[in-house]
Amino acid sequence: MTVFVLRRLVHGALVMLAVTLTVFFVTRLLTDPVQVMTPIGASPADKAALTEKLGLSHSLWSQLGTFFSQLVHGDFGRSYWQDAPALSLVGQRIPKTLELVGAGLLIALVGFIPLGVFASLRPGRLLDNVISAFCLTGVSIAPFWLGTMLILGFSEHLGWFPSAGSGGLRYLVLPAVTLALPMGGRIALITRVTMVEQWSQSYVVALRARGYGSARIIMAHLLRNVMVPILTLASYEAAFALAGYAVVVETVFAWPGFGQLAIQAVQQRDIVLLQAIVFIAALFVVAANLIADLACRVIDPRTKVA
Amino acid sequence: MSLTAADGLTSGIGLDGDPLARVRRGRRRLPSSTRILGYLSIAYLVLVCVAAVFASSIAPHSPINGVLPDRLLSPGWLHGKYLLGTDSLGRDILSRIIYGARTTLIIGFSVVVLSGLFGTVAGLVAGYRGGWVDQVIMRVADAQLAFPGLLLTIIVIGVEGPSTPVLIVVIAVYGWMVYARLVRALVLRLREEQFVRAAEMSGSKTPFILRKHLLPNLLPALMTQALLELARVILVEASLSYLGLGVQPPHASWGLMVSENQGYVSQAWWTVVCPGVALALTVLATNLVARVVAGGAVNPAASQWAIEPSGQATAERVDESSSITTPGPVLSVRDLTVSFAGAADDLVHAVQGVSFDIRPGEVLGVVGESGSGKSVSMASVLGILPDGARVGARSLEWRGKRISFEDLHRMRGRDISIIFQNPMSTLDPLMPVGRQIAEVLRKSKKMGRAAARARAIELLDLVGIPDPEQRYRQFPFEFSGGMAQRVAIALAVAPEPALLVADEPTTALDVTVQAQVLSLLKEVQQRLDIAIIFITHDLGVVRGIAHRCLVMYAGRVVEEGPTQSLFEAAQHPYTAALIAATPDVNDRRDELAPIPGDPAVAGAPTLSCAFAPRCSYSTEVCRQDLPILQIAAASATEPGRIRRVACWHEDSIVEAGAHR
Amino acid sequence: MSDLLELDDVTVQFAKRGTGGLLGSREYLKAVSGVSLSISPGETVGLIGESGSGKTTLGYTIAGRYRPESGSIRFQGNDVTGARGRELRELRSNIQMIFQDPFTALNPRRTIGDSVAEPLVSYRRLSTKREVHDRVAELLELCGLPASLSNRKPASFSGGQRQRIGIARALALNPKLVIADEPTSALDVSIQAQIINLLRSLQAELGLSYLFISHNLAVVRHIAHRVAIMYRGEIVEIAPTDQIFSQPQHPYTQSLLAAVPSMAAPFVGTSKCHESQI
Repeated sequence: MTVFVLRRLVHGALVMLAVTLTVFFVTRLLTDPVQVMTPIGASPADKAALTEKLGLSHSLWSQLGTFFSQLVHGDFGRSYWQDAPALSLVGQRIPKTLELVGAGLLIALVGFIPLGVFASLRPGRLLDNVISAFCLTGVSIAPFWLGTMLILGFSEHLGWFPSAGSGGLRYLVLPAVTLALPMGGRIALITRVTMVEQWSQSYVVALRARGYGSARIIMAHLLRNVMVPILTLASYEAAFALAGYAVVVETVFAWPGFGQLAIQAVQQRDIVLLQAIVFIAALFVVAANLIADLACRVIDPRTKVA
Repeated sequence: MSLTAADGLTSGIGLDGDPLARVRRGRRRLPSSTRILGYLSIAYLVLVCVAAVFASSIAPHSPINGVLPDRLLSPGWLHGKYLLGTDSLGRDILSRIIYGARTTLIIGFSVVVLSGLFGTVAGLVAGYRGGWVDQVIMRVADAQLAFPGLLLTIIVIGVEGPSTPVLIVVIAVYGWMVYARLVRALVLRLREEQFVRAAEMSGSKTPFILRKHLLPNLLPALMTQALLELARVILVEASLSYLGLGVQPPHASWGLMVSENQGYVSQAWWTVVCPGVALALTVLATNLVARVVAGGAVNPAASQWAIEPSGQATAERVDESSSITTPGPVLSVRDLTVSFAGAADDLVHAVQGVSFDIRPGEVLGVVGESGSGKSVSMASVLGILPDGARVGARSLEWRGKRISFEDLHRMRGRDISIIFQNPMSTLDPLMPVGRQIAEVLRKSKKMGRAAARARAIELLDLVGIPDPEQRYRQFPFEFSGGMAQRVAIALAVAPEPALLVADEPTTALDVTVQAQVLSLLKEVQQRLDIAIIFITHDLGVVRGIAHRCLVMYAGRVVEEGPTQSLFEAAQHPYTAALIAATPDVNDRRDELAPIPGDPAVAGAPTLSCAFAPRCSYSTEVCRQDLPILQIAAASATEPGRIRRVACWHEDSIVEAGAHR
Repeated sequence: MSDLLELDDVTVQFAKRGTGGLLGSREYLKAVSGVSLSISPGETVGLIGESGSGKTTLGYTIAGRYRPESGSIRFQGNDVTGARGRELRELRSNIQMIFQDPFTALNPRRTIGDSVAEPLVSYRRLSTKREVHDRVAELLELCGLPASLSNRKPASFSGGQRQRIGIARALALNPKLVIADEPTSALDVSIQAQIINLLRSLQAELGLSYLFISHNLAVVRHIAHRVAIMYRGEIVEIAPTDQIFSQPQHPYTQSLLAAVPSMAAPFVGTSKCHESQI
């Protein structure tokens, strides 16, 4: 077990390194950052000053060296746009994004796993068709449009929920639901497929042959067997959401998470801030995958032997 | 939607694989509702594509130049100039939607083709060559999957500027991994297929194998994946355009249209709703088509046996007051019939008019080849049926009392137990075996936790598992085949049933292990005085364990009687032929005597002797009329050794009889 | 009579997963350990073993799929140990295989004619399509199948028929040695007898040698001239058929024979209950 965790941590660290380096090189090589960051009529002197300030006058390798030495100290540089330490700017936004993604995931799991289970009980019949249609639609609707429609309906016409910003629970509902629908749709669909597959497994037939009823079979046996694929998918969903898909929802609802910050940073061409954001996002992705892997190993002891 | 039993029957239930875990090859028919939706979706997508290609001819107005005084006009379906209204710059929404379709589809198809080609090649190479090439490709793919994709895309676009080629390349860079992993997984699986191995071993070269064997089997899955990816890419492009990082104004893109008009949504809902609906419908249609293309693969193959808990028995409920409980057979079945829908929507009669008794403490062997219906008949009595199967019987009696199929099903796990062929797949893989036994005990005998645990350990010891306390906590995968079957036996005898049905319990085991498990079964049977119905195709096995035997062919019993009489002087030509065809270790003959032709496959109900085409004694009457199972004349005079035969020529065999 | 195939102290091993590299020294599992075996032209050698005995690995090694770690394999006098490339192709045209499961050994999407013709096509033995077609017809008839069925797909054939198709494919290149890996284990008893008889008659007609791999002692008795018993990668006993069955020397052979449910075993007797009338 320890070996496994260590291996995964090393792997994760390598990924983080790769991500950071990619952003580093992308922002410096694909274009001239100074060109991008200064307004059009800027004088050469301004540009030179900016170059100096950003440390871009040095060679690429020494920049890399500076970057890493700063990194080790947890210093991601100062955001050009906000003139504040990049990491702390991102840090302020993290809780908000986590709150959103957490709420969305919760709704997706709690609301949609049962849907998948119910759909799997009688595949091909009415309930299944209705649930599958619903999930498929949920997966197909663009989140930004869904959010806009929800705002139109629940915020403007009905006035139940605010349309933007964050504050109390009321602000969380619409954005969380918007995020949850596509995630939940996928989770329900994979729950359904896995359950259907499990229902026809021999051991379920054997359980029936021992006189067990459906409810008991599901609760005591099936759920555990179904958990691994669902957990894997849920972790992917969480990771993808954290890695950026929350951006769209955050933009629609003006939710102050680090996704929204990323958009602003791009608009402002603030590469320092961008580096920090991507680093944090990658950290979450790696963490989500690691947690899911560990959970799977706990649930399914066969993976230890593999 | 279920697997048709015909596949199971023709492919040899119990002979070449676990009947409970057969995976269907080939496609299954989709329910009509899905198919209709699929066709509708294809039609819609074709429409969108056509509109996109011929946008300049179809769009009523310019998508870019708006007529400002006409801004924010509501949709004029009936008489107005603008079918779907205008946006804030006076541009016709319908035209913009049509041009938006073009942009979206161009980007979508380009990305799918680009990432698909690259990913497929990468997956093929990784899967087929293996080794370090595989490692490298997969590491890169895995690492890339862990990247915060959308963010990086945003950054690159933000830095490079949002032009269409940039968009396409960046999105494609984030799509290839999916194909690579899929293709690699498929290739790895296909490589293990016997026919690929056979091709390799008979000298076929790699490009040939890739072309003729791998690709045709890959294409369906690739198509499905490509469609799913197309749906995803359309959404990504729309999201990017929404965020201002995709298609730029004044061009049209559905995502862009939503963001442009978001501020006007309360006054002019159509400016946002129409492009959104177009987007949603297109993505939905693509997803639906993907499902249809995947076909049976989306709904995984159902097992050979599913269970209808409510039972679909059509046995008549007989007036129960007329029954008298007499000491006699534990279970008495008369005229059992089982039929289900076949592959061609015809009715397959798997079991036709089977009758048998089983007495307390007796072992009844049920012998037959594939298609005989031996497993189906016994399974159906207990309600383990393929979906949609129909079971009927003239009468069912339990210990002399008339009962229904439902009653019999309720006795499962209490008075009747079952052991299956493959123990590994009939135990819950994620629960310790001891707990599974304890669970049965608590349910059937209402034991408390501690008592159940203790008894479970006792049972594990009874079936010869060393270190039962330790093994209690272990999972099925930690047991060998023979040990797992012992656990299955413990599970089956835990509720102390009166009847045990054993369906080919030793077929999947090694010879030496088989002998041990058989002797265990005999011991357990004698000790607990359980009646056993022992289904097998192996004459040698049934000889050593069964008191009486039923020989089945094409869904009917052709001979029945004490095992010894059956072997020493078979009355039915099939029984005799089967015995003659069975090789024996102690046999010094050189030639085996095969039975010509193939075993009969269950199909339409037989109205004459099903064995006649292969029988050396058959005459005209055999092909015309069905012989009834009745007491064999030769045995009528031997008390205690009554036999029944279904043959027009039973007397002929008496003379020629195989003496073994 | 010089041997067709000669194995001398062959060992085949596989690396255990999860060992080696950063985690310490590599561990190996010996699937085949120090096996010596020979097969003469026109002879059938039965290879008996239970699961895990290494018999299938040995068969695949002879067919060139695995390379022995040590030891040598000689075919028709030439050393072919670890043959690669052209040498391997040459070898494969002389050594062919028949597989256990007739349902998976044929590509379900190709006609059986194409499947049987595949070795001919890949070795370019015959020049015209006509010749290939004729040869396929010849092979199918040889194996008891009507040639007119060559444009059907495997799904329309029974298990026994598919196994015949597999045999026809194996004979396409006129091999000297056919390795049969449990060819009857997935077949019904009555069909099994047909296939065994077919293999015997083909041997008589074409002078083939067989390595008949099986776990079923009874079947092997009816086809093999000599029998080798394998246990945990080693051959523990090898002798002419009659001798193995009547005077087994090695304890493992004896236990195997004792465990086989025999058609001569004593009956368990009638049950203690009375007959009742139906």
